[in-house]
Parts: sequence; structure tokens; C-alpha cells
Amino acid sequence: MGSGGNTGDTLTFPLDEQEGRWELCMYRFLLQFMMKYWPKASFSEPGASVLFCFLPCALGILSPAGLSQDTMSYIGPERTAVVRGFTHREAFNIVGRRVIQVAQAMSLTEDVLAAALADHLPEDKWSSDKRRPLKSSLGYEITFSLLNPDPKSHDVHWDIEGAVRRYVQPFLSALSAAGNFSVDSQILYYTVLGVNPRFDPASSSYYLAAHSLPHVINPVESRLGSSAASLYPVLNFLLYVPELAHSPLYIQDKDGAPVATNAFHSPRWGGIMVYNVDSKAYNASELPVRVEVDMVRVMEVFLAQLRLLFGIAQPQMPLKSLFSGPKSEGLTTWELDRLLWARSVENVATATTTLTSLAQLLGKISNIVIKDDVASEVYRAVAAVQKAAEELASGRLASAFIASQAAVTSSERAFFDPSLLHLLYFPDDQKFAIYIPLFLPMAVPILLSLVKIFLETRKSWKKPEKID
Amino acid sequence: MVTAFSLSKGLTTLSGLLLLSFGSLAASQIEDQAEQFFRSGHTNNWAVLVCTSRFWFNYRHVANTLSVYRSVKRLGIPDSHIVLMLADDMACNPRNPKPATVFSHKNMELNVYGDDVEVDYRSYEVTVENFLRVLTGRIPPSTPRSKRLLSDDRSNILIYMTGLFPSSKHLLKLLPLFIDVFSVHFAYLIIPDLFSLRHGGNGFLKFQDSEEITNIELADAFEQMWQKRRYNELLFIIDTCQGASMYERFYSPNIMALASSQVGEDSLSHQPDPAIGVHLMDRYTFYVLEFLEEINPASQTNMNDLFQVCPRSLCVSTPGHRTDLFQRDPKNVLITDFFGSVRKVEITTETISLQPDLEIMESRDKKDWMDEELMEPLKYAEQLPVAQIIHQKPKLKDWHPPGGFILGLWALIIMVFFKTYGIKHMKFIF
Repeated sequence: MGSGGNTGDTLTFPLDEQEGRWELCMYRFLLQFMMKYWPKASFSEPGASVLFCFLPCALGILSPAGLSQDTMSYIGPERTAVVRGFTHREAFNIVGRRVIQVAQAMSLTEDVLAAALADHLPEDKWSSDKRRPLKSSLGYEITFSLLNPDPKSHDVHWDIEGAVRRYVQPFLSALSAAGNFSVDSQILYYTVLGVNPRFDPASSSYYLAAHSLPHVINPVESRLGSSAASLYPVLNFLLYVPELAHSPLYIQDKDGAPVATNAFHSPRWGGIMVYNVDSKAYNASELPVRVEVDMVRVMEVFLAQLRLLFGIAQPQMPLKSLFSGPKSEGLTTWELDRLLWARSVENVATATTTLTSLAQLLGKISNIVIKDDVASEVYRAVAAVQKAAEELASGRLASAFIASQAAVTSSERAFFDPSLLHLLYFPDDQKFAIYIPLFLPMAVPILLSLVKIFLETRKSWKKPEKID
Repeated sequence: MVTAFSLSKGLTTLSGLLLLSFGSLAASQIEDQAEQFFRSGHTNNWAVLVCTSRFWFNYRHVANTLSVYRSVKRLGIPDSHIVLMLADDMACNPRNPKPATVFSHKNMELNVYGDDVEVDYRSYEVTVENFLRVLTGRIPPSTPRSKRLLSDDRSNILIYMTGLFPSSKHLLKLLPLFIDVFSVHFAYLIIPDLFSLRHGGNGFLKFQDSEEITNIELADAFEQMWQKRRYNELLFIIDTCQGASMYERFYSPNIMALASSQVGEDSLSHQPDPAIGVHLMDRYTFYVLEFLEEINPASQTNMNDLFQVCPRSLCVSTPGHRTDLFQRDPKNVLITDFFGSVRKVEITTETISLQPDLEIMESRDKKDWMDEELMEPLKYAEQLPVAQIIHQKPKLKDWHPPGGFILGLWALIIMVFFKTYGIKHMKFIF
């Protein structure tokens, strides 16, 4: 049920239902107890400190079955963690190392920074993780679409408003520090996927092979009507109910095994999930069959895809640790911290390169006129970059993020100002070519008469000398 | 002896099999990594298609652009990602004997205009300024979204330009412009005639018969795009005379350029159609269109095939290309990397857990009930009383006494009359 860290040798929750749940409850209770009596302000804001609790090993008497000997640390959904201690000579070393491991799992690491700065680093094509996250932007538009290609057979209803209110809004309000979000939804009829599914006689179902998935999106996209309204990047989440003739439809991965979630996503675009109608529903009634979409299952997949699209990857858990899984909203606070750190760094880097290239442009073309408002935007951008850097250095993440966003907005406004378009390329030889035919004919008589005047004045100077 | 021999043979076969399996595993891993290395890093595709010449006899340029537009749409790039600039309307031109069509093949085989063409910049909006604004992104905030190039650092952009170069007869037309030193860019037209006695067009592309864009401006625009990371990779195709001169000056990375003719050569048109009366297509784009018609979104054809498209025997001019600024090898670049829109997809393997809310489900059932009950007939708001408006009589205007000006004028006239002719006429009037 839970989504514990599934990487490497970590233990996933729950190992043994009974024991694991007891342990988890105990840890949670302990942490809540600690947080109640700890000053609240120190971990409620983004970027704040992390609370570590130490438990001596001898606490095994508290659980009926005895605490499992293998879990040594536990990472909570708020900025809290529990580390078990030792009665041992090397106690401090080992515990210290474990604390460092837990802290690394929860905080900003080099690869997150590298992903944020992917534009400005030399190209490294070996990792696709760097291409996946959305670029930092002031806001995002999220569109949920229900595709019903066969309304004659399926009368599909989905309570999208309730699902958004119950599941998506909490997630987005947890993420609200990262930007403005707007959510809309639509139902599209008679839109088919671009690929014909193949029939698999073994399981008597239809499947979409992994290599045909890239071609699914394009024919649908023109129908979506996305990106008409706002200038923010759009994320599309499609729920496809396959036609009666192609039911049930499964998505196969590269090895030919059906995917458990029956969904796939495309970086910077969104995700698609295929929802198969239960075959029991066809028995009783005539067509069209009323289908009530199970929004919980759908939203689990969509929110997981949303996390991946934002670059909130599953964290690397240290060995022998237990991860509580995200809260009901789907996002832990320290994951949000990491995102804000990465975004702030990315924003500051973008603003700096924009201002630098603007300065280079102005240096190259000497006859561009800078208007006053462009100049004030540049000053504002520079001030915001400096403020963001200061705030990041002192760890105040929320204000640093806001400052970095202001920096990006101002620098983009300055760079993309319509008045900065230089249209006149004015090389030297063309300057001659333009002015010579104009001025040369005029200049010839002028020059000749100047020469004549000069000769005359010289003659008139010489004349008095002659007389004398 | 025999058993030892067979044992050793078995061992060797076993070890051979093991090695083979390891080798294939390693090879497939290396293959995967190599595949990823050579694949492009883009996530979306854009296309900017520009036709710069107007007038009916330049039908072929519009047909060129529309045929590339059609191929690009067919291979998957949606209209929202295509900026189409056509300098003149051929389909609805009064001289078009087959209205609403633009043909690319003789005998009207292929109508490239189609049913769903969306032209973003049309007729007089196609100017050098607008083109550079689209490329660099310096657009006034009131521009609609369809007229913008909203690419990001992971976009592959295809830029196709076709049109004419300046010819010397324009020199006479522009004589008065010698005086106007501010419209300097018109003076580009005299350069070829002053400094090179050639037919012209070296380094310039004419827009709308009155403006020019130089290769240096284009190179600077691309550099601005690179500075702001507005593209991942860019493919620039130009079909005009001396097209290769337009890409000589590029200096930004990740640009590949193709041109229909070298410097000093003319790019020729294909065949005239006797029914329509003009040349329908240019040769280079005609053969490119035929090449692209065979590509489907899943094809693995690469750029090297595109470079071979129009050999000298068919095209009379020598098509040129430039790949030194491009980082990948052209034989690893798929045609669909630029002309189509093949998305990178990943299977979603993880989910998060959510708790279903029972309250919501109950209230939802109740809401469905209520929905079915409240199916009122819809009412429309009060409409205008059209019948009354159509049949109404003209309103009688209220009578107003004459205003001060009229009174003063008449008083003046009367005074003058009586002054002239004497007061004795008064009694005949009053």
C-alpha cells in the first residue's frame, strides 16, 4: 500500500504487517510528542531545520514482538527523523554517520543541483532525469481530460470536481510556494488514440506496445485545446476509456509485461492513463453502459505523474531505514524544500545569464536605445539576484525563492522588451556605399570652390608683400 | 579418457554459453546507453515556415511553404506549435481558377492547402521586423498565442524560408530612397550593383518586394535565441537563389542548415501548370516534398538521406548543407526529430497512496439523484425585438426653434438688405 523507498537494499514498509505498523505508530507518536513541545517556528517554514530524535537501543521492551533489529532510522513526513542509538564504543561515530546519511536523503544534493542547472552545464546525455522536470515558471496550468471514444457503449461519469477538491487541491496547496496553479477539466468524445492496439490471444486483451507509445499523443493533442487560455506551461492528464471493441486495453513495457498502473507520461507534457471498464458491467444491461470512474485509483496515478513531472523523485533512502511515505497530500515538506532550493538556484542562474547576454548584446550594437523602464527592470533584476543569493546563503528559503522569481521576471521583461529589436545592420562598407553617391556629387563643386577661395586668399596675402 | 574429453567439451560449451549470455547482456546494456547517447534531447517540436514573396506569379513560393506545412502537420506537429507566415493569399486570389486550393503537382494531383490550414501571419504582416520578433521573442504583450514562438531549451525548431532575392530593376524604383538615409535597409539593394556586378541576392532575402533580411541579421537572431536557450537544435532550410549565402554567417551551436542552391547559382522552378498558368513549385522543395511523403512518424530515416534529395541532374542547382555547428552526426539525426513530433515517453511505475473519502462518495450519490430531478427546460434571456426594429416607422423628430447661428445669419441678411435698399421696403414685408 505504501510507497516506501524501493531502491537498493532499503527496507520497505511494511515488512511484517503487524510489527511494522506498530513500529510506525510508535515512531509517529514519538515525533508528534516531540514536536508539540518543541518551538513550532523552527520547522514550519520552508528551509527550516530538521529535528532528529535519538532512541536508545534498549527500547525493545515497548513492543510486544520486539522492535525489528534492522531498522536503524526513520524519516518522517515533516522535517523530522528518528535515529536509534547504540551502547557501544563506537557509538558516536556510527550514529554520526547515520545522521549524515539521513540528512543527505532529506536535503539538497549535488545531483538535484545539477538537474536544476542542466542548461548551463555542458551537455550530458547519459541521464534522462535531467530532461524530465518542468522549467521553473511563475505558474502552471493543469488540465484533466476524459477521453471517451465510444459514447455509444460507455456512458462515462467522473466526479472530477470532487476529486480535485479532495486530492489535487491539497497537493497543489502544499506546492503553492512553487507557483500559481490553475486546474481545469474537460470531457472529449470521439477522440481516438493515434495507434491501433494489437490483440494478444494469450490474455484475450488488447495491448499497446512500448515503442508505439510516442505516437499516441500527437493526434490527441490537437483536440485538447490546451494552451489557448494562458501563457503558463500546461500539463495535460488524460484518462482514456477504451472502446468496447478494444477492451480491455493494457500498456506493455519493453519486456512485454503489462504495466501495473496502465499509465505513461511524457516529460514536460503530462500523462495518460488507460481506464478499463470492468467486464462485469456489460453483462446485465444494454448499451450504453454507465461507468463510474474510480477517482481514487486515477488520482493516485495522476498525482504520482505530477510529482515526477515536477522532478520530485523518489529519494534515495539510506540503508536500513524506514520511510513513512508522504502525507495524505502526497508531498513531504522536505521534498518541497528540495524543490524550492533547486528552483531558486535555477532562477538565479537564469536571471544571471539573461542579464549577461543582454549586456553583451548592448555591447555589440552601439546604436540601441535603452528606455527608462527597461533600465529600471534591469536594476530591479540585479537587486533581486543579490537578495536571493543572500537569503539562500542564510537559509531563508521562502524569501529567497520569492526574490529569485522576481529576478527572473524582471530580467525576462528587460530582455524581451519589444523596443530592443535592432533591425539595422550597418556595416562600414555599406555606410560608404550609401553616403558616397549622395555626397560626392555635392561635395565636388564645394571642394573646388573651397580650393579656389584658398588660392585667392593666398594670392591676396602675397600681393601686399609684392608691393612692399 | 572419453569421459574427460566429453566433460571438458561440456565445460567449454557451458562456459561459452555463459560468456555469450554475459556478452549479450553487456552488449544490450551498452546498446541502450549508446542509443540514448545518440538520441536527441528534445521534448517538443516547433516549426516556423515563411513565404516572403507576394503577387500571383510567385504562386510557387506559397505552394512550397504550404507543402512543408502539410508534411510537418502530417508527421505530428500540431498547429499550436507551427508559426506559418504567408505573404500573399493564393487560394483566394481573384486570379486563381480553382479557388480555395493551392496545388503542388501538375494536373491538380495534390492540394496542399487542405481543410485545416492556419495561417498565423498573413499578407502585409509578414515583415522582417515581425519575423525577427517571432524568432527572438521580443513581441508586444498583446500578441495572441498563436503568433508566438514559445519554444524552450528542449525544443527542436525547423525554420523554412522561401522567396526571392533582389533584382537590379529595383534600383530605379528606389532612387528617391537615396535621400532617405534613415531607411537604410532599403539601400541594400544597391550593394550588389555597386560592389558586385552579379544578379544580386548574395546574403539577402527579399521580403514583400520592399524589404530585405541579411544573413548577418539572421545569424544574430539565432545567437539571441541561443543566449536565451530558445532552442535545443535548429534546422534551417532555405529555397531561393544563392540560398547558401544565407547560412554562411551562422555562428551559434546546434544549427544545421540546408539550401537549395550555392552562391552564384539560381534555384529553378519546377513545372508550370497550363490550367493555373504559373509555375507550381520550386524544384528543390518539390523533391523534398516527395521525399517527405514517404516518411511516417515511426520511420528511422536520417538526415543524410535528406542531403541527397535533389541531385544536380534533377535540380540543376547544387543543394548545399552545413553541419559544422551541429553536435551530433547527421546520420544519427532522424528526420522526425525536426519534421515530426515524436515524444519521449516513460512508463509510470509508481503510485502514491491516497485514502478514499467515504463522505464524498455518499454525497456524490445524492448529487446524482438531485441532478436527475432538476432537469428544467432551459430558458433564454430576452432577445432584441427584431421584428419591431425592422418594421418600425421613422421616428418623428421633435421640432426645435432655430438656433442662435441661424437667427444671427438671417438678422445679418435682413440688415444688409434694408441698409442697401432703404427702410421703405419694410412695410411690404411686415
